[in-house]
Amino acid sequence: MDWIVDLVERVMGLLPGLWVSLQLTAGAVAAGIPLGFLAGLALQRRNRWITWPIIGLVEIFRGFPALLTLYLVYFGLAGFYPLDAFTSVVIAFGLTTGAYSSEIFRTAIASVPRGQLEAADALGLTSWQRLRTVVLPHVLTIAVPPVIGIVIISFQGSALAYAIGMKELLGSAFSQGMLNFTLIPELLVAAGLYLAVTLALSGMESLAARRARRIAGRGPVAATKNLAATATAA
Amino acid sequence: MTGLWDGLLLGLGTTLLIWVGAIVVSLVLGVPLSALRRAEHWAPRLIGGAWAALARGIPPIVWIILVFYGLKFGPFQAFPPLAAMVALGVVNSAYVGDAIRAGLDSVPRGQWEAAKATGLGGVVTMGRVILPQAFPIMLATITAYSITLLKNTALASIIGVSEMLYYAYQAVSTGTNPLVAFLAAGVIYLACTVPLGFLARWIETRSVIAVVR
Repeated sequence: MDWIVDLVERVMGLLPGLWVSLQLTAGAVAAGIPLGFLAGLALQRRNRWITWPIIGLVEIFRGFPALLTLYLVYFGLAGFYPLDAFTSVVIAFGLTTGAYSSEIFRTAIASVPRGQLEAADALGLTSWQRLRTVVLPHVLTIAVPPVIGIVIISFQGSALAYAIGMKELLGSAFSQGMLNFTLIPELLVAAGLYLAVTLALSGMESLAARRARRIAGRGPVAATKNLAATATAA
Repeated sequence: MTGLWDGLLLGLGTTLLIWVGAIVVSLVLGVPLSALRRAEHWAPRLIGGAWAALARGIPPIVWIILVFYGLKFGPFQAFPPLAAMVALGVVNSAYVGDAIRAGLDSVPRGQWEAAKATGLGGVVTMGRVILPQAFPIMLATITAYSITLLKNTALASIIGVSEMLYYAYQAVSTGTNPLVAFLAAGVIYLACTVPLGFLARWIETRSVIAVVR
């Protein structure tokens, strides 16, 4: 039974680190999802002066390795304004999350049936009312599953914060391991915790996908499938 | 400045080496994985599912660190890029396995049935009927995932592999402006990933099976 006590002790030792990882994920998602939504909205425009710069930014932050973006923010912006590690991670991964999710929101917004938009115009809704009462409910229903996919990517990415010395899950596994002279067991426990959270999130993702399919009826099902494909490809 | 670019180009060689090595590892592991996940019996499907969950559920950087520090394996210590290839190859095998499985499943049932009805054997059915149709779709998906893989090679710098990001980091520690060094590395990454993205989309448009999209 000793090994159970041992395991529980190690897990308890890493929980504060897991909490930091979850906070980093929440920060990156809270910064990135609104950015992605705005980009997705702006990409509906026909005006090249609006769409091209956004496409360029999206390609840049999707094409850069996340670790490089993190170094760029943490070391690069330090010359202008010293940032602490937490803020750097939120800014860097907010940008990558925004770039990844812009494609999800672009497709989701484009999948709003034309008839509904025309009906909104015929009723004389302002564009803000149309966004709030027609577009958003539709997008919120079908974009939830791929957005959970984005949350999973952000959570796994939070491990990179270790590289700039943060004591998140991976970082605390290292420091605890150094303390106990047992690096590998600590790393395995950390891997198990990453796996557990990821599996829980992907369970939520499939539940949300089923719910989205039920609510949205036949039309957006194909759209949801495509979105899921884009999310995993990201 | 010349030092920076020399280093980055030197690092690019290692980056591409890890990338190609990891692709090979993931193809070698991904083919049996797709067979496990398509099996009739539940036991191989369970093993395949567990493998995919482990490969995907643990962050790539944790895989790299576990393989490098965990397996006290001589060749990994002597040549750290090998540890990165194996770790990233394991992670990517889950995606490659899925791509192969989805490609095979995308061929309409009627094609399998027609091959059977014509009396074709398993190898001929696979080689002459199914794969020619499924291959472009698999290739497009695998190419798309190889972009993520290329970006993940940057993680090897954490275990001290002297790939591109490592050289950018070194340049910064010897006085190069961090914005310049990391943006320069970023430009080279983009020069690799953007054409790969176009390639993946181009292969996809070539595929015979239009239904999947």
